[in-house]
Amino acid sequence: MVDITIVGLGVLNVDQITRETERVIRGSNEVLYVDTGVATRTYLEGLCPRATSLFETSYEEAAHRVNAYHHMAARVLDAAMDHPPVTFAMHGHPTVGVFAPFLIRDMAGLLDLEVRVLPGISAMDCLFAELMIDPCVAGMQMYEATDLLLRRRPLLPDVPALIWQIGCVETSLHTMHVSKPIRFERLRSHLLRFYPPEHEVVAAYATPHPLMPSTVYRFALRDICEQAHLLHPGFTLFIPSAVERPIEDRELLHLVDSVEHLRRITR
Amino acid sequence: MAHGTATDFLVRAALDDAFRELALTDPQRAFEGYDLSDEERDILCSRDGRLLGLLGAAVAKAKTPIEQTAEDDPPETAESHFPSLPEVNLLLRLDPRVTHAPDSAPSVGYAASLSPWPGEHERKPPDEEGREQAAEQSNDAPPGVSWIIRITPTVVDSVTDALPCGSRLNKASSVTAGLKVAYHASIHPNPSQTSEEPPSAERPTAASATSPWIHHVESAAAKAAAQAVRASDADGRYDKLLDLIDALQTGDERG
Repeated sequence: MVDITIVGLGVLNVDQITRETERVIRGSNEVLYVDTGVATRTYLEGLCPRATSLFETSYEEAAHRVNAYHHMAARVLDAAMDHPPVTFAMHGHPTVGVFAPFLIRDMAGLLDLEVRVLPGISAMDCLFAELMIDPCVAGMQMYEATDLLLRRRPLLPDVPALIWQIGCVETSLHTMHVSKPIRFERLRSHLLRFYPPEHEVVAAYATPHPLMPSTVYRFALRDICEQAHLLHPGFTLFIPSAVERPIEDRELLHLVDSVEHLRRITR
Repeated sequence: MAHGTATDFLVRAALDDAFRELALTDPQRAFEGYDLSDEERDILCSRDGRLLGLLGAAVAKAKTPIEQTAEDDPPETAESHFPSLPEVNLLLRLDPRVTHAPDSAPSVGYAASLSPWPGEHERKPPDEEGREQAAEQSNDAPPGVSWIIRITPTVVDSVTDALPCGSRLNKASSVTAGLKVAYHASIHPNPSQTSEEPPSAERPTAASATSPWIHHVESAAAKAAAQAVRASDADGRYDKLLDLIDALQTGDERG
């Protein structure tokens, strides 16, 4: 028996919950969730006898977000040891931009509890749809905003880039306060090392409710600081490629349409 | 007729496909039966960025009494009607001593002492404390080390006695004869010997992990902490799980 199933609830409140996830929640004794969707509680209570929100008891203003994740993990494991099976449900995809699921996995291993993870729709999936992006065309490089700056990660200007959590940049502490322009100065300086100042970037926020359209702001990279008051923690920054990398392997280019080459590389 | 709020409207629009369609195509009809302010109607009609504020307000109102109780009464303060007891800090000091006997190799012994942790006003600056320790030791002995032992008492129950027969008070009454106390002990490096601030009474953060994802699952400390979780009862399991998290992140045993 699987003791803990970790699932994602998607981004668009309840509409993006997969059938697989719904089935698991129905079969659980308790679903513990971290999702602030307005209809999440009502929906989950219709599936499971016990639906417990962990958001309100986890996060504190100006407190380290790691404390919240510790609390979530301890609550989930506590429930799983008391009345398995349980489900831990997170907003979006359960392994993207999160920590508690990894902690739960490692703790469960030591406690001989079985864990399973199911995929969910993440902000990246919503952004691909909203902006009509195919990551297979020119690839995709993606980094969490603060990690990008801490490690001064280089960016390839010929590969589109996704910078996660720009609204949370430069802090690991939880806050609901609006950002000041100064918050984005370091990020702007770093990005200007790889892109021209006039390069258009896109800040996108996938809508959490079906009545509200997604929010998309397009602006020149040099103006990112002036958008500070708009960029709340839900925003992701998409940076289109600034240049195109030319094809170098002309021989392979001729081979990709060759039936003879196909016969040569397949049985 | 029941009058729903803006929150009710948003919840129904998220769960009811037909109602959602009505809210999008004919919002005025959808508003019937809901007690909405002019501003709320305007926001729900325009469906612009202000809707985010309406959603945030809806989430803030959505706290249930159980959640409010849990927020106000976290597990570690469940017994709040009992008095809180002060914690005790002790200084454990270990000083090596090297003795030289004629015609034999030097031997090393240790002098151990346990004393009350000096208060802030009594503590000496690190340099002065280090010089004192060095002066007390022989020249060829390695420097001594010291730790803080913190003992945190928690009242877990009261012990009652029945009143003696013939008492003028109600025979069913009893008096509190004493308190049942549990102790939690932990050991920490002496901040005078390190550059770190003294440990606070709050749970220590996992500063030694360079990344939250470095978990010492194979460490003896993690295995011991897991064993403690398995051995705990339902009331104590949450705290033991937090101890397990500490062990996973630092590889150190707690308490």
